Amino acid sequence: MIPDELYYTPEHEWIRVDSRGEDDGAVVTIGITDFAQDALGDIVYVSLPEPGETLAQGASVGELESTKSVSDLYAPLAGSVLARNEQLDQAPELVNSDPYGEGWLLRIELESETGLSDLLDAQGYQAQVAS
Amino acid sequence: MQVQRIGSVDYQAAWDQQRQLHARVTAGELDAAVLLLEHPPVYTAGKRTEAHERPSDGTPVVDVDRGGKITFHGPGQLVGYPIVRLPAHVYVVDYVRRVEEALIAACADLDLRCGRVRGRSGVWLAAEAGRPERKVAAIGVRVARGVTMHGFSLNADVDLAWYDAIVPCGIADAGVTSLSAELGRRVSVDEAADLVEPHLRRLLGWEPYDRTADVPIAKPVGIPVLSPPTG
Repeated sequence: MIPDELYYTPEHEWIRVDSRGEDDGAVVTIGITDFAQDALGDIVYVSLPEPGETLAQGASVGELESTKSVSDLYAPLAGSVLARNEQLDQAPELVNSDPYGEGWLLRIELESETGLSDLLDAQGYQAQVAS
Repeated sequence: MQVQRIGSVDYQAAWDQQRQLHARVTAGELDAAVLLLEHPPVYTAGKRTEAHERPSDGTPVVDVDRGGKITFHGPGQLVGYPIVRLPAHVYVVDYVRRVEEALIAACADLDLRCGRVRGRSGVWLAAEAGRPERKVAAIGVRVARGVTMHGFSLNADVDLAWYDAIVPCGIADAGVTSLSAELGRRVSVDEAADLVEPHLRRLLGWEPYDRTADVPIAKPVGIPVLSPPTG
């Protein structure tokens, strides 16, 4: 399942553009894809940066822990954290059951919109998953 | 894949060695490496370990950045740290199943039938003759930059009394066992390493493989409340 309206990274994260910036930067929501949640296994703990923290593109910013393993989460774009999904503190399994909805991870205000054009579209991501 | 047997090494020293290998594999200087070793006695705890699962007698615990809860390492236990690049960094389930499969295959070489239990990691023996299902090998992994670290521990002839002080892996109603306890003869760490190594090489080569069937969890024995009086 790869929704058409989202952007993707090769690291199996999705990015939804919530608003384009005029005075402020663009705001995006990020999460992990259905493919990623399946490959990672049952998520039992999610560690995310707090609102106000600055993220460098590609930096490790959090952790997803499954029954098997701890895996790093990477910032797909540079920006600052507006919100983290606090529901995941009590219900980390939402990442598995609804990866594109209730299982979202972070809301980020982007440093600049230019990075968006480097992301994959649904077709590009589909090609990567299929390969 | 480079497999190094490094004997008995202190937990922290081996952790440093893992990090050095991890950096080299991440940088592409090294294809893949596996450390096979033993630790002097130590308890290690993943972040989710709860207070009541820790040793009740105040024995020190090393807090670590792997998945899973608390476990024990010590003499008589084969510890393996595969430092390998995953085909995609999210392929964690596939990787852990492959490590489990290598351990299951090594047990099968000793005519010991083991498998996975759904929702738990590690390698298990099925419940039988009044004994609960019990774990012979534990797994706890970290994936960073698409490269694994930490790994597995397989009880060869470890003193199982070490586990009495903790709630291993946070599972209170299951047992821990060793190859020696199950087979009724001493299985050394070296013998276990000789068996595990070729299976690890095969399974971490990412070729397709057939998965061993899961071990069923025994149903709890209930006392029927409304059973008719007998006799």
